[in-house]
Order: sequence, then structure tokens, then C-alpha cells
Amino acid sequence: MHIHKYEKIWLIFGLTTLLVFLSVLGVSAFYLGNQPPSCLATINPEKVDTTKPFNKPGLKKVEGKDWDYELVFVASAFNYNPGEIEVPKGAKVKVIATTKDVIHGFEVAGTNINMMLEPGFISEFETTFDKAGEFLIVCNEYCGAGHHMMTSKIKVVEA
Amino acid sequence: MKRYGSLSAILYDEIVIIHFVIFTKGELREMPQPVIRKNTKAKTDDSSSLKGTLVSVFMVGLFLIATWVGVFYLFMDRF
Ligand SMILES: [Cu+2]
Repeated sequence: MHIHKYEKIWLIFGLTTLLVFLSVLGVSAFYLGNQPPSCLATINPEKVDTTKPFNKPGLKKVEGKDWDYELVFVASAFNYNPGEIEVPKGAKVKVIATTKDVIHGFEVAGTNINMMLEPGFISEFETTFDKAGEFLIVCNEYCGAGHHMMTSKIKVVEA
Repeated sequence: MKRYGSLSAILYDEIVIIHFVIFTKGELREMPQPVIRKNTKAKTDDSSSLKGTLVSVFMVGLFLIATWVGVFYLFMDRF
């Protein structure tokens, strides 16, 4: 079979980029251990208020873990608990969130924190808050009549 | 031509004759016979050239890579 010289060039180019992108994905998942925010951790959605750590939403310092703080959020139609929270700048934080009713979104605008909160599942995201400022949290999964008013705020303040 | 009357018809005939004379150079008896030429290469655009396609493919490819790298740097810059 005859393949034109140029055809060979772009076939190799296409296959190479495909391999590069798949390798990036593979290294990210299997070597760096990245996983989706909701990854097998479950909870009884009717007992969120009495289940640790969701019985005390907010920021708390933890010892002996890879992260310094745990930031716990509970979402329900149509608000987040806490409605506003301060985080010291430079803190290594694990954001842990779930919902009590329907699916909600959890997007911290202008950051990489963006996850879905599904009833029965716990969503987590680990990051270092290395920029000071106010960050708006918005629900980006339509959840009902008050969806557009469902917000919260993270204030990253100089420690 | 008939409906324009005989003057037009005459003029038309004149023109036809003049053209005939010009194109045959007046040599009516030595009109060349049409020759059927064989094995001639048809002159067409060379559509087998894939240069434009190559350039197009690389333009799309580089655009994809540029946007991917852009988004990756945005991802690295944010927390
Ligand atoms: Cu919502």
C-alpha cells in the first residue's frame, strides 16, 4: 500500500500527540495518584448532620496528615454551610464536601476547586491556598428554584 | 436573423465570410485535416499535491497544542 510522504508525516504527528496526551493522563492517575473528587467515599445522605466530619462544618486544623487543615462544607438547597470562611494563606487544605438533598455543584471561582456534590457521596479536593483574596463559591449544577442564589465565600487572609 | 430584414441578413453573411477568410487565411484548398493525437498528457492542476493539506493539518494541530498548553499553564497557576 502506498502512503503519501505528507500523509505519513501527519499520521506520525497525530499518533505522537495522542500518545503524549494519554501518557500525561496515565502518569497523572497512576504515578501521581490523582483521582476524581468523588472517589468511592460514601455517606448516608439522611444522616449527614450527625456523621463526622459533617456534624461540624468549617475549617479545622489536623495533625499527622499530609494536609494541615480540613475545610468541611455541607450543601443543601439552596445554601452552603459555612456561608463564609477564612483560611490562612499558604495553608495546605483538604476540602471535604457533600450534599444532604440533590446534586449540587461546588466551584470556587478562579481556582481549580470544582467538583460535583452528589447525595450519598463525599467529594474531596486537596490544595494549597497560596493566593490571598476573596473567592466566591457557586453552585454550578442546577438544583432548583434558588440555584442562582446558592453561594458561599472563602477568604484567604495573610497568616 | 430573418426578422431584422434583408439588410441584417446580408451584413451577417458578410461577417461570416470575412471570418471564414481570416481563419482559413484564404487558403480554402489547403485546410489542414484534424489530427487525432495519441498519448498526450492532459494538462490539469496537480491535485495529487498534498502540500495545502499538510499545512492545514499542522495549523489545526498546533492550535490544539497551543490551547492545551495554555489551559495547562492556567491550571498550574491556580490553586
Ligand atoms: Cu445547588
